[in-house]
Amino acid sequence: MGRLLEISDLHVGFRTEDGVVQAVRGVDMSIDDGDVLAVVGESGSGKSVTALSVLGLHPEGRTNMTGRIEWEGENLIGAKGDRLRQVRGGEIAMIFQDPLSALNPVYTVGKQIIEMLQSHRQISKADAKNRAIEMLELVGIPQPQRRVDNFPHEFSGGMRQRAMIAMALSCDPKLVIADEPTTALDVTVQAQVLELLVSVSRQQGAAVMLITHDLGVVAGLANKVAVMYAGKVVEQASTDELFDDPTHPYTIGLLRSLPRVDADGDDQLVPIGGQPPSMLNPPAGCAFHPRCAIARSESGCDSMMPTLFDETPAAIVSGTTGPAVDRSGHGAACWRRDESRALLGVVGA
Amino acid sequence: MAVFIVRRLFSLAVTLIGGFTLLFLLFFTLPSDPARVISGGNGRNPSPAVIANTERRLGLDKPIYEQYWNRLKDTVTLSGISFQTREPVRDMVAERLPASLRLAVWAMLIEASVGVGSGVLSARRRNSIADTVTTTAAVVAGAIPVFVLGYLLTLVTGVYAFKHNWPEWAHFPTLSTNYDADEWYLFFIPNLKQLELLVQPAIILASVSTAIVARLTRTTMLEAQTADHVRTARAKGLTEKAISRRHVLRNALIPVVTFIGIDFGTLIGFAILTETVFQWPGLGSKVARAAGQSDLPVVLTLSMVVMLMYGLANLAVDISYAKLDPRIRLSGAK
Amino acid sequence: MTDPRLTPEVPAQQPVADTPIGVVALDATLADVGPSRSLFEDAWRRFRRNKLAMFGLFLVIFLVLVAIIGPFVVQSPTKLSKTVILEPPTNQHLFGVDNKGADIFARVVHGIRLSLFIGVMATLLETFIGIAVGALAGWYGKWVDSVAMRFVDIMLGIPYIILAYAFITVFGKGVPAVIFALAFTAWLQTARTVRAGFIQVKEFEYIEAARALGVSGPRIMLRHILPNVLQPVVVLMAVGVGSAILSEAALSFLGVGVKPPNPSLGLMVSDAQSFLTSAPYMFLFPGLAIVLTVLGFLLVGDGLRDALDVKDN
Repeated sequence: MGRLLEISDLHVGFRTEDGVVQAVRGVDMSIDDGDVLAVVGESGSGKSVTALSVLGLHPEGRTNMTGRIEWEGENLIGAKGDRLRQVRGGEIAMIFQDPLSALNPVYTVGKQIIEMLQSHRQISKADAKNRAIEMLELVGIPQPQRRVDNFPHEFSGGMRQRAMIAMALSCDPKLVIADEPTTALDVTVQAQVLELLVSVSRQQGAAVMLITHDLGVVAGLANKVAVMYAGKVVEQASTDELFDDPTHPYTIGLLRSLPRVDADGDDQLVPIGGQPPSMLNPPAGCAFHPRCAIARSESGCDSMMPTLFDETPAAIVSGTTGPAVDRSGHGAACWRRDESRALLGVVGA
Repeated sequence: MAVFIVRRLFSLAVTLIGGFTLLFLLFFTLPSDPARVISGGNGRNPSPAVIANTERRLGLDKPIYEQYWNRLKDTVTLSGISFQTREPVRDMVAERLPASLRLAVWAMLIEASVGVGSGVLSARRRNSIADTVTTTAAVVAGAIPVFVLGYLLTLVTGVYAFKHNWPEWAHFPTLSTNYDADEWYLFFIPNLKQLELLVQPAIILASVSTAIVARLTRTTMLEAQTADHVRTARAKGLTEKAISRRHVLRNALIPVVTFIGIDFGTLIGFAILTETVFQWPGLGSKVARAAGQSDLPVVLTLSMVVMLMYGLANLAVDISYAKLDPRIRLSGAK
Repeated sequence: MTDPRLTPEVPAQQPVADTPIGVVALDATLADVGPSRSLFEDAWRRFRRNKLAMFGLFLVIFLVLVAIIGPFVVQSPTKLSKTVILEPPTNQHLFGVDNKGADIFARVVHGIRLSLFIGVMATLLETFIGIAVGALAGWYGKWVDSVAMRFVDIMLGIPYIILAYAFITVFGKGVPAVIFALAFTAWLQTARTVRAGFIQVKEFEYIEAARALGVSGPRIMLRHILPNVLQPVVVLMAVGVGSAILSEAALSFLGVGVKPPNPSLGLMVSDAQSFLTSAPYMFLFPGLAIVLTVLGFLLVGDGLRDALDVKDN
């Protein structure tokens, strides 16, 4: 299983007139061949920012980005312009949330796909157009030869997003990053489009990084999940493990607030109390501690930032970090990771 | 499309008649009696007999609705005769409209090139020195009255140049009674002498518009630069040049082109100040003078011509707008 | 070497009793949102930071002071010296003497006062008319709107100078006539803006709620909608004063504005025409005064527009 993308210790801050907003505060993430990784979190958790960082799409003047985003053996952070342009669209493609604003209203959909093809390949306009029609057909758009000459506003929301998916896949990328691709769509088409995205991508041999705030969609589509909160990954696991054996109190809270088909009629949906923190001035220690039911000072919850795989605070302070840990397994950034399930009454595996 | 044009032309006709009526009423309900003004001339107080005579001569003694109808007929068929000089209005139009058009076209060229150019420059190098200078210049230019700027320019090029012996090519004639309609090629291209005459008024007329276009372009460019589809274009791997050309500039120019188009009509009608300062023989100065003299046929007809130009310019803009921005449907839904 | 994961503020761990800290600390995070500001404070802050806008404000204040205090300091603008004419600036006559023997400095000061007066009066009047027409058109819609807008379109189609001429000939020349003429041509823009604002806001839910509760039309207009529409109107007013001053100068220059020997800056420029070569100061000083006055208001207007623009960053 080849490792495609490895994000290590990513920090992203934005300079604003009120100070620096630390949107991403040390994130590790990895994607392998064939993966569908779901990155889940509330607004402000830093998930979109992480996604945009891969292709370096943040506004240049105001962004501080450090860390390592490893692709094909090189760090995309600090990559040279030409190389970055090659990667963008040609090796890693991106799909955005609102297809209406993401597409240029004055050019036809076909032209926008052709434009992308021609900037990555030596290809004639006619051939590019044919390829565009092919891709539109692939994503299930009826009458692609006609629709290829339509403008974005002439498509319905769901069709528009399909067109974006077609455009993203047109140059055979190895990874597709989708930033909340269905949030702006009608509820009735959301599921369809998501499934299409995942199936067509895998069909074309591309892995998928799916950013979403909806843990519910993850279940049937992704094989790995990373849960983010306040700029950090608080839990990462395979989908099965996450649902069967959630460890971080935030994840547990999220799952409890999801309606489930197999739930008991009497079970209550339990929302997580409180508000997400300000990223201008995040809480000390574990960012979730103010809302956490089991947080306590002597575990270090309000003073030290936990990481996904490390041992107890005592071990850190004394300089012993314990046996080498497999970082691709199930990790949870919580000082009380060994007791959380019991304390919060999680039943099962 | 054809339906759209027809409907708009009809609408234009209604507006023109409305404007005509409004003007007619205004000039008619005045304490200033045209007959008195005309027979009196420069403040002489004419006797009632003379006034009555003038009234009869000019048809001002007929009932209002009859006068209205007469004036309307004359205007539409361009057959009016000046109250003051007895010159046929048609001749005036033939002589002055081309001059106004020429001035307006050249002003528009200046406005488009300098305005858009500096706006784009400003936006590309936001907050740099070039940006601050251009923006400030644009703001100040919008505050300088056209006639002040005009005289300032003449002061520099005419008076100063002569006094300090600048080279011959920097001399610009200050009084341009040398306009010669025959010295123009392809209607819009002046020969050298006419060009000398044209330069100053064209620049002055363009000044305010250029300032507006520069700031408008800067604004639309800045907006376009941060648009979502630009991010998508970048994510697709396009070069910065391609993005800037195809996704920023193209979108940013839509409102700008629209403005320039509409402004053309304005340039024709509002050139009066420029024409006065440089004595350019256009419609504006003629109308102004006629208005001062209550010379109804001239005022009404020339105003209608100007309004027609303005309306046609707007119509042209609306039609081309649909080509520029595919989101607009010509069915009239705006 | 301390581990970087230890957040800086806290010293080494102290053993504490086993108390859950989650719920108690909830409210602390909400306070972290940042200093809360009212709309006006926010706008003023932004305005203050805009250098051009502050410069404009300074100009306006300076000129207003000149207009108020000036007339007490300088001589009468119509007093003609019997001994000198056409003299360049001296210590006695700061801006020189014009061709009739009047002190240019005095005339400029009074001219500024006149310009400001006309500009402000005309703008107040046009704003009033504009709000009235725009509100009615926007609120009642349908045929009221169509008629009103058709009227506005017609008036807009007529070259503004001609309209002004027409009004002047109706009202005669002189200051009141100029004010009316300016106001009657300027209200169009305000009306359009107010109408647009009304149409936009009319749809808002809380308006529908007020309606459902039976609050009368005019009351809703005044209490709820108008304050929202006020923002663009304020900008229009500031720019409007500058524009009115510009127009007055133009009309006077053309001879259809203020009557001589009233000290209108535009008139002064017109008078200076024949003396451009011999006495450029007759043209330069009034010209400069016009530019500075208009510039001040335009800059303030722009600054207001930027400061009140909510949709950003």
